[in-house]
Amino acid sequence: MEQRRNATKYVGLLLYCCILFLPFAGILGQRADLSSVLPNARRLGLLANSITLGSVVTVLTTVLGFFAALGIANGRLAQKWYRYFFLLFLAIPYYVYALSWMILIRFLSGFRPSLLKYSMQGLPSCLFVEVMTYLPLAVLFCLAAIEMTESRSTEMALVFQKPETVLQKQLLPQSLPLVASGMGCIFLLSVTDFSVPSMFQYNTYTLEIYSVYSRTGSALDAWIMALPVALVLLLPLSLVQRGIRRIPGQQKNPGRIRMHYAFPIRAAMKLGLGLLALQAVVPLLVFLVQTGSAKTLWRSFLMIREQLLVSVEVALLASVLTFFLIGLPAAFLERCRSPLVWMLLSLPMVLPGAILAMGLLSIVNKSVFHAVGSTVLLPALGCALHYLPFALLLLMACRKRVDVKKLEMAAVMSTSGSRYRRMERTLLLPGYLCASCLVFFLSLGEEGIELVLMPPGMETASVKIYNYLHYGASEYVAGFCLITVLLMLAAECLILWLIRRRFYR
Amino acid sequence: MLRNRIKKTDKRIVLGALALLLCLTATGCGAKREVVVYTAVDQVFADQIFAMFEQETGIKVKAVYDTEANKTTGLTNRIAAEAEHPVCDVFWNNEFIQTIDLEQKGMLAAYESPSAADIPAYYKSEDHMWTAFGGRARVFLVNTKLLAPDNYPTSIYDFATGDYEGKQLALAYPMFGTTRTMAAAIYAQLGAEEGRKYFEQVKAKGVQIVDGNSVTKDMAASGQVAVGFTDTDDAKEAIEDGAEVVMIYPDQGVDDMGTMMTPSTLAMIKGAPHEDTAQAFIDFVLSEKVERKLVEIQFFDRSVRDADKDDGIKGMSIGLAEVYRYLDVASKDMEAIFSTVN
Repeated sequence: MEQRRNATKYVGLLLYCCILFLPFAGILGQRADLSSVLPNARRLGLLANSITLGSVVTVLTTVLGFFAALGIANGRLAQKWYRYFFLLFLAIPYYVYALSWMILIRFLSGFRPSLLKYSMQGLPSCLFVEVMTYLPLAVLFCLAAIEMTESRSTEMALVFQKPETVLQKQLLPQSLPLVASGMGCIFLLSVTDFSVPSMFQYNTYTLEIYSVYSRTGSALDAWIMALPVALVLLLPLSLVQRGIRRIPGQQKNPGRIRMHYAFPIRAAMKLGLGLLALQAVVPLLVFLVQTGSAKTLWRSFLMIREQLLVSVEVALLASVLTFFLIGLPAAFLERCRSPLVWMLLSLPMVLPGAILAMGLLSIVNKSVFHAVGSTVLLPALGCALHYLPFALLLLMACRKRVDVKKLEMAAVMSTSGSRYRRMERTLLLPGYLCASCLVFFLSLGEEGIELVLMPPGMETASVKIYNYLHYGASEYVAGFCLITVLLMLAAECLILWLIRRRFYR
Repeated sequence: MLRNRIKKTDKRIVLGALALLLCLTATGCGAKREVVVYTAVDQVFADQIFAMFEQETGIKVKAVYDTEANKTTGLTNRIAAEAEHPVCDVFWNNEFIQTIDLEQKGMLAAYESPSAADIPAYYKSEDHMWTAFGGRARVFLVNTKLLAPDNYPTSIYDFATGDYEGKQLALAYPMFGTTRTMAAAIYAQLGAEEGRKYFEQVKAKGVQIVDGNSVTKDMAASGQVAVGFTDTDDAKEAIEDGAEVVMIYPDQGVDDMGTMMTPSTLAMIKGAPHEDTAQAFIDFVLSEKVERKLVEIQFFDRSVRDADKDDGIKGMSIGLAEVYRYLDVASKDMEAIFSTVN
């Protein structure tokens, strides 16, 4: 049975790889203009820019995120269902989110014109906005990491040591694996995004990829140009890999313990929490002020309701596809030690979504399944494909939390492989749901992929937001964003209610 | 109990997922008299024309829009990727370069629209692969709080060698969109060497290179810069929003070269699935009535039907094909000059 189980894993992995590399197959027929894609001093400089930005953003976001998460886990919010409030803005495109800070500066300059001198450009401004943008994601990973630590051993350690020592020697090492995974993900997102850096006139390598793609129209050129980024990502990916492998197994946590830290740690926690609140309050306020009235908000809703429905359809389908695709590769990766394999399986994260989508469109259009192009299945597949590696990482973290005894029992008692897998799937259901939810939320805010893959006559909310943003209809853009936030809130509440009903009856 | 839970969970998941897949993928199906239009024209303008067309003909327009954030690479590359089984019937581009590019790649079908009979031959492809119409100019958007009328810029050279400080001026990344077309037009007008020298001077001056024309507009309107170099549709939006700005057409003197005028282009895609409705759409949009409507709603500055009349805007004298010829060399230079380590 062990052999059959292994064979299933390989088949699953093969299927996963086939889907993952579909876009690559789509560009194989294209010709590469090597003179356009070869590295030169300027491009290496841009790559250095990307790495600098990605590294500093990752470190700052993780440090702040850890203290913010510690603040949540150690404060009044600890046991509350709404402690994940900070995820509300996950579906707002990064660019629009960043714009809210720009608008705030412009608004404040009305009272103090000298503020405009600091016209938000260059690395510092870019750093600030990216840190604020990715802070919720960092807090998500850190909070999950802290909540996974063994509260009994912490309790025991507190008998003998000061809280700061327990934090340093117990809590931090225990949560480090998942925190490191979060760092890898944030580095990846930062290095591959060009929208925020270009807003602040900070040139990066990803913008160069887009620039060459814009000039040559060859997705193959873009893929070749993305290879150095992929190589750079080997290090964070090995971090992620190590991190996930070291996640502690399941323990029963009787409840969180509140620790009374010394002033510097309390101050850092307050700073982290303050920034976390600020990253939600600023865009919310900007959107509220810009929307102006309930009438405009209602009108915005009427204007965007159809697009919202399409966005939800695509995101739902993407999460369903993710649900079915990640199981077997996660089981395979659990035993795989090579960072190269991890890098290969994470390659779709390296390319800008629109270029990936172009390859997918090309292969589907050439195939007998070209009719899929006129359904929402194609954009959903594109989104799933782009975010699968993230979902995979999350599922792998959750696999580590499964009750191993039950699995071992299932392995001994099951009469067939399918029975074992059913058992495994049921035990892993929370992980599958978390991974699918993550893909749902990320797909809801996706723009580049959907723009390329949306069937004619359909439009998603994020595409409409960008279109109106360009037109300058700021009150409607703000209204659209507010409605998206409300939708996220409703979705989060619904998911939490379902989870509580399903698992905590 | 656990066994029951497992069975239930599995059945529910599989049935639920299948039902969802079926329901949602069915959304795109349906047969009706329709035309599929890919358009890079701003949605707020395009939607008005689509509504007029649907009302007049009863043909449903299924549109796919582009966004500035996608760096205008979306639609033409999408059409190229769909070459095997075309989905798009008509490509309505807000400029001409990428349409000519599609023509060069053999992705367009010839159609001589009767509505284009009164459009000068200069604006049409020789093989009737595309027709250009309307025109948007490149303009300076000047913040009137920061600059007195005597100091308004008058020439594109003010961005290279004028008295202004670089940080007072803004221009979108010239590797993308209409600013890329402008770079190619300047190359065509001045020659490659002079063109490159011009942009090197712009770079050396420290002009703020920003993320798109709408950002250029926002910066000039908010006073972050004194002058933004952008398209008229963006500039008009700022004026409409009540910002303290004026729009200046550059190089309008007798001996000056004039400003770049960017016409929109319409083309039918080779193998278009709805050829008859595609032709009806092209006829409708190229009609004088629709072109005037686009001028009226301020998407266009002028009608190509008035190209020979003196309407107060002096355009560059170079041909569209000539601009296209310089596109590649200009684009490579723009990457080398502007996409550098800060």
